[in-house]
Amino acid sequence: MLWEVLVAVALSWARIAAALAISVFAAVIVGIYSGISRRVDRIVIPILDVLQSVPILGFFPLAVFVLASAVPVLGYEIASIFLIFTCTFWNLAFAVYEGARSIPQSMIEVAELSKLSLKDRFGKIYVPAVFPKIVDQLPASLSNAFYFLAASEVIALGEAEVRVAGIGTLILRYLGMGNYTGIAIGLVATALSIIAAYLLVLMPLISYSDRYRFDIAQPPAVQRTPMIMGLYTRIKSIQSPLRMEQRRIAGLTHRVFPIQLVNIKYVGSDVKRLIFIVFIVVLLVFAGPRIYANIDDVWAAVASVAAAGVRLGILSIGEALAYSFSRVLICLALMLSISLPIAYIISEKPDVRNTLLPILQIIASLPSPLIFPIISGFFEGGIYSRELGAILLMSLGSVWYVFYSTLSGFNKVHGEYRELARLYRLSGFSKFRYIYLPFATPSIVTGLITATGGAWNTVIVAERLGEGGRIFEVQTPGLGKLMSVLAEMADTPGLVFTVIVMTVFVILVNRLLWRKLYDYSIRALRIHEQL
Amino acid sequence: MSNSEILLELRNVTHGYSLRAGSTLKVIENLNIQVRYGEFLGIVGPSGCGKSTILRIMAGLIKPLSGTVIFRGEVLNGTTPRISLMHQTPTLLPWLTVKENIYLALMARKDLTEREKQLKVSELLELVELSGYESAYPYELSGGMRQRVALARALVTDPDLLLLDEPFSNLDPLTSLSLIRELEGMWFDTTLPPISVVMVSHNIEEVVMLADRVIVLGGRPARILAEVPIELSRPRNKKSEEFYRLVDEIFSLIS
Repeated sequence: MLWEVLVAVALSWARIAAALAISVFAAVIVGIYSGISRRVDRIVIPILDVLQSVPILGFFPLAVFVLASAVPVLGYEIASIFLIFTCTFWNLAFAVYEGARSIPQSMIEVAELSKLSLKDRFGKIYVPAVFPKIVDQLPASLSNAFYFLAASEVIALGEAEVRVAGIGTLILRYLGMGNYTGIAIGLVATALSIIAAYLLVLMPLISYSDRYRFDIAQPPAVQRTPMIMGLYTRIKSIQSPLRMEQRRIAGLTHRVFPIQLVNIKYVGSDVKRLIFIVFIVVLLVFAGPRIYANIDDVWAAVASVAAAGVRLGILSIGEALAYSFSRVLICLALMLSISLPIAYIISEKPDVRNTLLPILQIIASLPSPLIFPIISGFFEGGIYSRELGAILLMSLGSVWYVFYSTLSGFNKVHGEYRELARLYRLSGFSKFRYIYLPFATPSIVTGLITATGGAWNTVIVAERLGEGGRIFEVQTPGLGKLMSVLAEMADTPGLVFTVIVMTVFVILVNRLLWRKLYDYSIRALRIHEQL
Repeated sequence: MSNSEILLELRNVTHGYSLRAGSTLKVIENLNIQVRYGEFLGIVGPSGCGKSTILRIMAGLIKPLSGTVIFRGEVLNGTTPRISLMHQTPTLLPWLTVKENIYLALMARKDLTEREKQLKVSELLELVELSGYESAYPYELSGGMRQRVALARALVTDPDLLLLDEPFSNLDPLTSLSLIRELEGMWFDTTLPPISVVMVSHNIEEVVMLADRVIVLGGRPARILAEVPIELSRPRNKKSEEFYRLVDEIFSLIS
């Protein structure tokens, strides 16, 4: 049994590592291009925003029909990696996008003036600038990958269900057999492998990326950094000694790259436009005729999805939606009340940070849906305890988004403002109320937006969890419960309909509630250029 | 010189930052500086020589690796309302009005009534000529006005010692000159706090304009290269020969 577990853990890790590698690569390309080009920004960011709201179940049709059926042997493996990718990619892409956007305009102008080639722009400016952002997001991506581990290893749609070998499916099998020793061994092995990954890969990466960030008021140390890193620290400190830096960088690039005769900027933008046009043309030429040829099938599919909506009943879907939405809201309140104090303490006490943060990150990565069935006995008492269990499980899936963005918000409080609090001996409460909380509010709201998306995704797992007759579900309606039942009954049109409902609802709430709240907080706090 | 004439003293102060390898990079070593009663002390030195670190040690914000800070005859442990620090940037909170920003410095004080606090804030607003801007937000003010709010906040606590960390370096020349003039006027008014001022700067003209005595720092770790008394009568004329000679002298010491 031990051997079986170890092989399964290794297989799962291989898939997760592949998905993470693809995610980072894709995030760097997509995030940086969206961050530096207005046109790409306008097209890509709304698309990403919609796609990240689609629950993992929503990607099943794509994974099954396109990937699994198109590639004969490895198809299911690829489909599984793709599903993991849908759990790890979005936050990375948005983080890279934000990082690319925060590169000072002057820096980009320097690159243009010194005629840096595209390759060197990426290598010397963009990638170093976004590197810490990626490292910051890796734990979140990893925990998300593990949260949906079981879901991404069972490729099921309709009657066809294929389980790729991995620790997620293995634990599900043990769960079905009632083999609790097996589950325990599996979970411990998973936890140990996550700890090993932290110690051997993530921690060195985090400390490596620390060289890129520094604070002027409290220099952590004077470091001798490789040239690329040095360039990045210069990007960060560019405000006042700008001209000197410009000369230095211009000099540096001139030494390395002799003056190029062609003005890259114009050639570059023409090339970009050309690529874009070619992309659209290829899409039309290849996809167009296919859609046209199968137009009847397309219409039939649309009709069956619409019929499913009518069959399920708009009212009962609405009711399920309302229940799930209130769970999401309670979940957010819970996550916020846990994250605020802990993040505050960590940002205040560096020694606490160094010990507590790695522990939290490891806990964050444990696959809670797989642990939950073991402790679910505690929550089977009645309606309320089942609700509590579901909300707890949802919170475990997305509390990290709130926590990390709250922490990064608190860390944004510049050294001089911290000194202010000490100079005037502000009480802990006033310091929090007048300095830390306002500073962190935009980040906290951003975290809540991401967490809402995450909480909606976890609804599917949290409202109904089970395997082989052992089912733990809420007794009240819920959209996630409905989706999970529909998936089990192989009701594809119904599933597609509910996925669309959920996606549309999440996007609407984002636009009508969260974005408004974000804009309002920026306005109310009067945060302008001076921060 | 007897001890009673000294307001604050750094005795054999050494400070530095730890490097990755476990060794320490010393920024200042065995530094002795005395701030006398009623003195405007200027500290100049090249960028990165540890001037700001010295100021933060004086403020009680940084505990030096070794050495002691004596303030009014006692060892200084941590910050005190009797010592104020004005940062290089105004460091105002954007979500608070001008009045609330100044009030922040008095918020934690228990020895003043609410009425006294409000009164002090209004007094200081008048002093820095910002009456009428009480309810304005920092983003609605010019750079010079923001720095004046920061000055009012630093003075509202009635400090004995005011520490200025390059207070004019982020302002345009015209604004900085008028602020220098204002500060000089306040300095002449003996009814006003503070008793002594320490200003750190890399702008030699600024320092010669205001200081009674200038300490010139240099090297790594930083040490005192020279001490130059400025005995020009006030208000000082930037174009006078003596002024120019002093600026030149200090400049040649640094470079």
